[in-house]
Amino acid sequence: MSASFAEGRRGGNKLTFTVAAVALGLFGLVGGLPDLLGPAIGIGGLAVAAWARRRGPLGTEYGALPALVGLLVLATTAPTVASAELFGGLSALAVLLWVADDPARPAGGGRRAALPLASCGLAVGIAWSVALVLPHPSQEVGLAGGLLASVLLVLAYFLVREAERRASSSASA
Amino acid sequence: MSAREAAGGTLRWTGRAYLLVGLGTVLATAAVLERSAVPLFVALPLLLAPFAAASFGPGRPMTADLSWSAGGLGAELVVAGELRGPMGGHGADLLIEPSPPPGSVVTSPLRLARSRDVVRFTVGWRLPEPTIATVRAPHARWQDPLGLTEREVSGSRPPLQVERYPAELRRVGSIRLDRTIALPWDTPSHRVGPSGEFHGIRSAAPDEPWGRINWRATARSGRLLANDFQVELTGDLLVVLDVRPSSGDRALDARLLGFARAGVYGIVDALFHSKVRIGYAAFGEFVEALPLSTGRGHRVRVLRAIETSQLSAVAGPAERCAFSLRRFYRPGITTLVVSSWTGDPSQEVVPYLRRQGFPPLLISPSPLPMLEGTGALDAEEELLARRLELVERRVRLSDTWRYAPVVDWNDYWSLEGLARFLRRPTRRRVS
Repeated sequence: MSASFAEGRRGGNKLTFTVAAVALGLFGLVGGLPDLLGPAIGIGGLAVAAWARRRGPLGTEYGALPALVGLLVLATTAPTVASAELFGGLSALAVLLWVADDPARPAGGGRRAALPLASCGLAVGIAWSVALVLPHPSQEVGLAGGLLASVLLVLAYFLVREAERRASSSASA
Repeated sequence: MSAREAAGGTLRWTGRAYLLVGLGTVLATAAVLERSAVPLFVALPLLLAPFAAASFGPGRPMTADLSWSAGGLGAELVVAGELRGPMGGHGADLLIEPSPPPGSVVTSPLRLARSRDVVRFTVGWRLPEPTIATVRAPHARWQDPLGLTEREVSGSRPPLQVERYPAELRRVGSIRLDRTIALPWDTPSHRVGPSGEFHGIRSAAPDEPWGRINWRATARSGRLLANDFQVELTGDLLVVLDVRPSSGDRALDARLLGFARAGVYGIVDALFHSKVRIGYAAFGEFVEALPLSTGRGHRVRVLRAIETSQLSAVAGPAERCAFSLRRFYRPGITTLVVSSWTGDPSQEVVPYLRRQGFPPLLISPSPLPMLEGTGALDAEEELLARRLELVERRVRLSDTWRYAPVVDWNDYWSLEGLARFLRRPTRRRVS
């Protein structure tokens, strides 16, 4: 047991688990899988992930994999409708929120991860709302808007890194 | 020694970030292949999250200086410390991973108290046996709340020296050693004080302890008179640590030497406080000796030599130890031999030391509590085997008793046998 794991709480925050389970359940319901198979895959994957990430340091690092695989299955089988797109994006955000609420870390991880998650949510929001509002031939514009927001964020990241690199090189000089 | 990491850590991705990006890429590919937007909507947050997490993290290398100390008694080791430095409000996501001493067991998990620029930590371990060890500084890194990016935290990281030895050794310093050898360059001290050689009689102070009053002189003179003593060295002690490999199992020998070293450290540390003149020799293939002396500088030299004593590659012949010691020390010095030698009985150093004129006292750390069964025997047979091993050891030690008193050190956290013997060196047999 690593020391950082020992530092943490025994379980995660039940609220984030519930949010992720509800989002995955709804995504499963609007998805293309028959009956309750979709919600079962989504929530089952999340439950397995919650169990796995309490299994020591390796589980803490990669424990989210079952939940993400469940998300992958639901996404690839879902029909291309606005509700599936919305719940797909929300499910991914909810899973990330649940990942931030790591039992091996100090409490309040979800709260501290609010800014990064909000920027991801913004990109999804732009993409989905534009895709919903615009008529069918222009839906690609929505996706393009989401991707543009993503590219801007990546660009901001690299700008920050460059500024940091310059600051550290001038400090060492 | 203070170790400062040369450069602050650069930002790097964790395995979880690669997992998210990989899965996001698979989803994006699936979206293209299926001509469906849904996987793309799911992929978008997964692909963006690592970059977003890095963007909101600390924008420059983090530094925090460590100050820490060791507490606890006996086998319990409690380490408390704090990391202090400009963390820019990211202290809540600082991860600390302490390095436990070898063989220790966590008794109190890591606890952290975080504030804006200070992170305090406490962790407890139980040591399996007496130890002198240098605990490496804990590893500190910042990790974003999503666990996708991380950055090493640099700064001053002094290692922590831990000395744990049997508690009785702290009282050994109060025991007066009788044998003092006058060396040619010695100048006797003429200071007077409450203990030492008798010096004369003086008027008693109002708060004079009753034990120091000379009642006969008081009766003769009709006023309270007290004894005065010359403060001088209370004895000489030569400590010989046997660092020869003996059993064939080098790991076992190293463990035995580890706590033998801790015991020697405790004895020497305590006796230095009572002005005993101490010499130290480590015998492996050859003898490495420090001369008899006292004082702070010599104390540091001896303790450093004890800390750095290592198991030798080859075992030197026992007579070489005795002959070599004659070159460094005058015969007659009380010689404390700490030896876990379990090899050929004819290679015991004690008889040779006796023949060369050094009155020895042997402390023999027992390997028996460290030995584990092979699993080939059932519980009853295992018990019998242990008893036979114990009998064999007792027989071997009883042979050594012909030459020197022996302290069988089988309870690693107690050296009561040694303390008892030093209090009454001629009356008690040591078990």
